[in-house]
Amino acid sequence: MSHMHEPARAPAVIDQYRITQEPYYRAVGDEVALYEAAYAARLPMMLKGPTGCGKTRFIEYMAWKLGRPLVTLACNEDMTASDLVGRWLLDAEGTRWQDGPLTLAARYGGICYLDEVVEARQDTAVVIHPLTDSRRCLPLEKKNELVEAHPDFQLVISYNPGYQSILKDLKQSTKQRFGALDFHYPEHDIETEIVAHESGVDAAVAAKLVSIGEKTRNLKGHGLDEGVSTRMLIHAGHLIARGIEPVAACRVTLVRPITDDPDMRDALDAVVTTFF
Amino acid sequence: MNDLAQFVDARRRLGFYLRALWDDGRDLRGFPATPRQDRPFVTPLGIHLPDTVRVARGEAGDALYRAAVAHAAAHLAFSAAPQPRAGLKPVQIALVGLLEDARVELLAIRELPGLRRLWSRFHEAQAGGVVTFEALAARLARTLLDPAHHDDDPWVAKGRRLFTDASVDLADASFVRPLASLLGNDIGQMRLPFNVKTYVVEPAYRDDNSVLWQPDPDTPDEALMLEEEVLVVRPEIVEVDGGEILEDPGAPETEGVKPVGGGEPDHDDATADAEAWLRLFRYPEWDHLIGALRPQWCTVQERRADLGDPTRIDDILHRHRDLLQRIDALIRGSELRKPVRLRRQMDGDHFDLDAVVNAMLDLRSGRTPDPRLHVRVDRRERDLSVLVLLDLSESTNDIVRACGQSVNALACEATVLLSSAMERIGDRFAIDGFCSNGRGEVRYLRFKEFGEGFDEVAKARLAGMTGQLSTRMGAALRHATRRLRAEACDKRLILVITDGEPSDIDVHDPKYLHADTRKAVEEATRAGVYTYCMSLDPKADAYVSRIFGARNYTVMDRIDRLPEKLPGLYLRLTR
Repeated sequence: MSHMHEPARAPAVIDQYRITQEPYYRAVGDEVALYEAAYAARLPMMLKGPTGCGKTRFIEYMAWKLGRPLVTLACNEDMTASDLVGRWLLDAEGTRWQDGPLTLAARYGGICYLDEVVEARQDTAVVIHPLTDSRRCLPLEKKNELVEAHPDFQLVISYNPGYQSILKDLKQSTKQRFGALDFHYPEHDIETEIVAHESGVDAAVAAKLVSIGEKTRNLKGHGLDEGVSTRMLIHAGHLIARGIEPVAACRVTLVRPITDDPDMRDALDAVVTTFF
Repeated sequence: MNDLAQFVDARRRLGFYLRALWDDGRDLRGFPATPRQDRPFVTPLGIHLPDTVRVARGEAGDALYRAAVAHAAAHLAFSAAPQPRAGLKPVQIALVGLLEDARVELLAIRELPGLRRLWSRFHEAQAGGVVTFEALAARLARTLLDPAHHDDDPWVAKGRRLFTDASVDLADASFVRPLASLLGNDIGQMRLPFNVKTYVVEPAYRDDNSVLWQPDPDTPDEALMLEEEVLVVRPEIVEVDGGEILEDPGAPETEGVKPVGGGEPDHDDATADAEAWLRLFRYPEWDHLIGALRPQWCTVQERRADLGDPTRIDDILHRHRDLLQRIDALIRGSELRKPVRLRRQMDGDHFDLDAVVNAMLDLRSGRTPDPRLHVRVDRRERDLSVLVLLDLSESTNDIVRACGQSVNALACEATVLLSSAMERIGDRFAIDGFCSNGRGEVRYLRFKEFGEGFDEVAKARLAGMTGQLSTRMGAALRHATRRLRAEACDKRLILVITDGEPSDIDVHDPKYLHADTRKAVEEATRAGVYTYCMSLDPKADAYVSRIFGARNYTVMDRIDRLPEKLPGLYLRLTR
């Protein structure tokens, strides 16, 4: 009835989630210190911010820095509670229990990162509740087991508040269990540094890419659902670093992916030619 | 060879362009170009561009418009407040404009280097040729913009030397006026005539520079009287005696309101047209100045809508049958169906007992078992009630030039298509509308009830929809919230479709109704009712996010596309 049952497999299973190489992360404020304090208190955390602004990279970096395994799960609307906690599988001998990612992290001590948790159905999201308050345990109803969270366990979710669907929002009862860090696209110089580092283009080209990104973000809510993200700018940089002509690279990686609207496409192409 | 480029084709692209590069949501407006007036100009209403321009064959028509928008935006970003013309000769005024144009363009190019290429292609003045003021001015303009261009005319060279002098700080406009005076004196000494009547700014993308000068008190400001995109066909302004009742709660009610006994909603059968009214309701209104609700402040008169000709609605459905098919496909694709038990799944919440038994039989008899052993319940329940709340104020009679229909007719069309989509999905919905004539007369029309089908009666009522009076949104929202709360369901949504901000004849502080509407939205949220606003007012950004919340609104940039957009928006909202 506890995590003592399967000690032999434990290290191997969880060790594959350890991050051995330092991920590149450029801090923009005091988020590293804040997160370290939150982890020390095992406070569940919520990372908020638009897509492609560095939430996932940040948690990878923190997991590496803290030396903890990171179990990541991208949520989608077809996800069931079983996908989080685990399920019975069949093998030649009969049935066998397979821990889900959440159980894995809770049992052996890791950071469990649920990416875009709003996408999951609301009833799925509530299975995390017992892990996020003073109980720090996870009942496995189907297995008739109560997993007590490992002392190293922490739960982190990401959340993009820009979603349009009114039927998709976190319940208050879920939200209020978390501390939250707000992420935005970094300011010009920092973003330039990131784009240059990640894609290998020089600082001047990176600065132009970042300016294009900033201009497209002016259009958020005025024809675009989101502006061009840092991730997209890095993609553009990758192509430019491989010798593609900058205007073509921006067309392929920035303009075409973000809109299907011909008028918007033309306007964004014009923005690109303003810098290249 | 020349082609004509049309402003209406480029307008939307230009709007995106302006917003992206300058974060400027200013209106772009076309004006009928005449040989006398074909240069762009800037007014508080927005940037005005000629509705057609000549472009060289093969050249994209957008380039000239784009250059014009970028140039005007550079003025707005870098030019100082309008100056008095006093003390300047016409030729000096023209030269101040020319130098200021060059100054703001160079400042803009510092930030957005590609603009030099965009603007340069329109500067075609060549060195040499007949020496007139116009020719020299065009040559100077080109020389200032394009450092690679060479012109050895002494006056042009002098202008360039002084302009690019190391002591000149482009960001500080104070050098422009003395330099213009100096160059203007030279023109006088060269005895080159300057005709203020025939002079036009070159090249054609540059605006007339009226933005630099304080208006001449003698000449009427033509720009402000120009026709805009939406033709106003308001026959008259509705004036009602006693409109000023906001200051004095004890003043008599606005004319036209029948006395109501008691504060609670009750049936009023003592009035002449009682049969037209269903009921009267009193609602409080939020006064942001005193920070409190004024109790029983607004009277909502609820009535059934007048009947129109239902075939009009069938016409709409017929006309848009292609679109309806697309919406149908969209609905099918978005899997909004009822919950289903899916057997024989690769994974799921439970075992499928039959499949497990079979698998065990297979295992024992040495065969490969079928791995699809699970049952999954796909819960796609939609327990949703929607109230579509239409703004029926006078301004909805305005004609949208792009399609020749009134805002009202477009909203009606969009509602019809949305209704057919909602009916298809099986969501319960009602359609209501409102307009107001002071706080005592908030008219609330019911077109379709929750329980009713979207049948001939509902269609006839929708067909009878007209626009009149003002937009007191808070009271209408409170009433809609009350209606929706009576519905037994999981999720409730009010979808407001409006073409303007809240306003009414007895309120002169625009913030007052904004604050009240926001309060009404908050009350609705507390009562478990979502509100979402579809605004047809291109300038709505300034207020609509504050009223409805950052996520809960959309501003339609092209009203004429409302009918095709609305059902898609609804599906996305409720996905």
